[in-house]
Amino acid sequence: MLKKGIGWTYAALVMLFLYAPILVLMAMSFNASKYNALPFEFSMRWYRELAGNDKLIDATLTSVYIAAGTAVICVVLATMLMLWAVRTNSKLKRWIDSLVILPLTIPWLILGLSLLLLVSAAGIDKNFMVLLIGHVVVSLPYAVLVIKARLQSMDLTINEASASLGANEWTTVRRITLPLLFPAMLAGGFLAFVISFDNFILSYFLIPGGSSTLPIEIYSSIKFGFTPEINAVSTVMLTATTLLIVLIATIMRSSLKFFLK
Amino acid sequence: MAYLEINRLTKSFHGNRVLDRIDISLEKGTFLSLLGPSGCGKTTTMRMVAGFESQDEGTISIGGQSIDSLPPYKRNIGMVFQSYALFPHMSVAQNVAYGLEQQRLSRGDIRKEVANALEMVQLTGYEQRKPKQLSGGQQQRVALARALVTKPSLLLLDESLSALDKNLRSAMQIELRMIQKEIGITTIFVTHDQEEAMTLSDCIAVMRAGRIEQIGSPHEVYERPANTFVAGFVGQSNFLKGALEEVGEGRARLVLGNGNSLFVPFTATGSAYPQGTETILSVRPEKIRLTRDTSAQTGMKGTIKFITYVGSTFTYLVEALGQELKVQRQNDSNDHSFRQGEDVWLAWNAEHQTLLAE
Repeated sequence: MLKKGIGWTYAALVMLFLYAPILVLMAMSFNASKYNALPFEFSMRWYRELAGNDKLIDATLTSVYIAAGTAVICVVLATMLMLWAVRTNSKLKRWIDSLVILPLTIPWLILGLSLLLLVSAAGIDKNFMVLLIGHVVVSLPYAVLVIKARLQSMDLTINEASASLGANEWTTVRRITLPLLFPAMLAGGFLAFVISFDNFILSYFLIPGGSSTLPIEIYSSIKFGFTPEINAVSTVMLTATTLLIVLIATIMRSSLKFFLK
Repeated sequence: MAYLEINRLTKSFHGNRVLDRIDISLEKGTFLSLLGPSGCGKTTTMRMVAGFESQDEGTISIGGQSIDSLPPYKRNIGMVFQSYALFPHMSVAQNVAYGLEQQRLSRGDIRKEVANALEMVQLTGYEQRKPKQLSGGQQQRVALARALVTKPSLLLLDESLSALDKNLRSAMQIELRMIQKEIGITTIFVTHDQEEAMTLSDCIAVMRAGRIEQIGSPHEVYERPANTFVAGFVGQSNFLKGALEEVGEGRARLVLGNGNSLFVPFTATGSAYPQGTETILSVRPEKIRLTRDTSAQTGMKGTIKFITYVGSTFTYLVEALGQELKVQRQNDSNDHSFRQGEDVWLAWNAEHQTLLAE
């Protein structure tokens, strides 16, 4: 009985540690006080101000665009790479495997700096294409890991079964491999989206002058005096991502049942 | 030229010769089992026929046409995999239809063929199920229907029954054999289970270390094994190694390595076995008679060391002339009066023994 109580208390403390800051932030977005002061007084004021804050909305949209682009590119690249990798047994494959994962271990600060150096050495102005490339570099390993894990757990003899039934390799990929890989592609894409959306350091290095992403916007508004609008935009983003996860989980549950062994 | 011709098929992996000049020729409609312990090359042989591996040397042809340069998807060979390899995201009907869709059949024809195939394996009514909703035996049938529906020129079965439990397995063996005979498809079955190979096959190729040790009907392989490996792998056998002396009318003296000797039945002409020929005499446990009468012309005296009762049969472990022999008798209520420790006489007929060179 005591043991059980301790277990529950421990779990509750961990949950508190993980989620209390976020809950406080969400609560404060509905607090009328400009300085996050108590007592709590419910107000939608910060959401109204947010709705009128074009700068913050623009930054958010920029972030969404870049993250979406990153996600799509990462999924396509990761899928093609891994499909090729399961079909080859070469030494090259092992090298590519490691090289794609390697950016995980390189600090983003250094990655950003080196990309910036490369861009200026090549005489290119900072632009969104460069920013997108940077985001793809940091997000790709995550997509690769998710898709690779799924491919490795797949029974590869089903590809042979497909061939023995008269399907060439392209048909096999299109009708067997890709449908089975789809949940992992969705998950990998979502992960890449979140990594990109969240990224401050690379964006800070590579963003073209005059533009801004949400993390950069939040950072600079804290520098020039914090307003609870930031709480509001954070709450909106949190709600949006949670809904997205729930949506994906719901879509996938019905299809996943048959995919997962 | 036979329907399926495999000539001098040879393959090495990393300098290891896994297949060494495999020769097989099969008439149309024959059921062949490739039987052998793991690593003997049976699976590699089958995968080469399917086109999933390529040979270093040798040729394969079906119906007089060489298939060596064809990719797997152009070989028109049906295959049932060990894991069944059903497409998990497709229903039973979609799985079976897949091969027909590759042949660009019309929708109506596909529907008809799928229905026929599912009827053949008694799965009518399961069209909309997903593989995960089926039992192992049902998955097996879907895999079989999927492999046969395209009317392939050859059917390959890769240890396809090994995942099923014992009762289901023997039921599937019979069903598989009936379907195979009905459509008359030439079939290669890979297995390490000698009983299964005996039950199903017209022809068995016993393989070891990349070579075919013997190829023949189940009866030939069992009754006339080519060597001690085949005799020991297909069924059980007692081996008496020694030299033939005093070859005479109806019997010969076999001098064992330990100096003991016995008279064995002998009908071959003496000229084939000159005095002192080294041989290994192989005799199946169920071919040995046990009696208390010691006046027989051939055979030997032994002592029963141990008796195993398995219901339908008794297995006696008998020590005779410093050797241990297994003797199997039907449990027909006459024979089990022997007791452990009892002295008995072991005898067998000439036609039930095989003299092997190695």
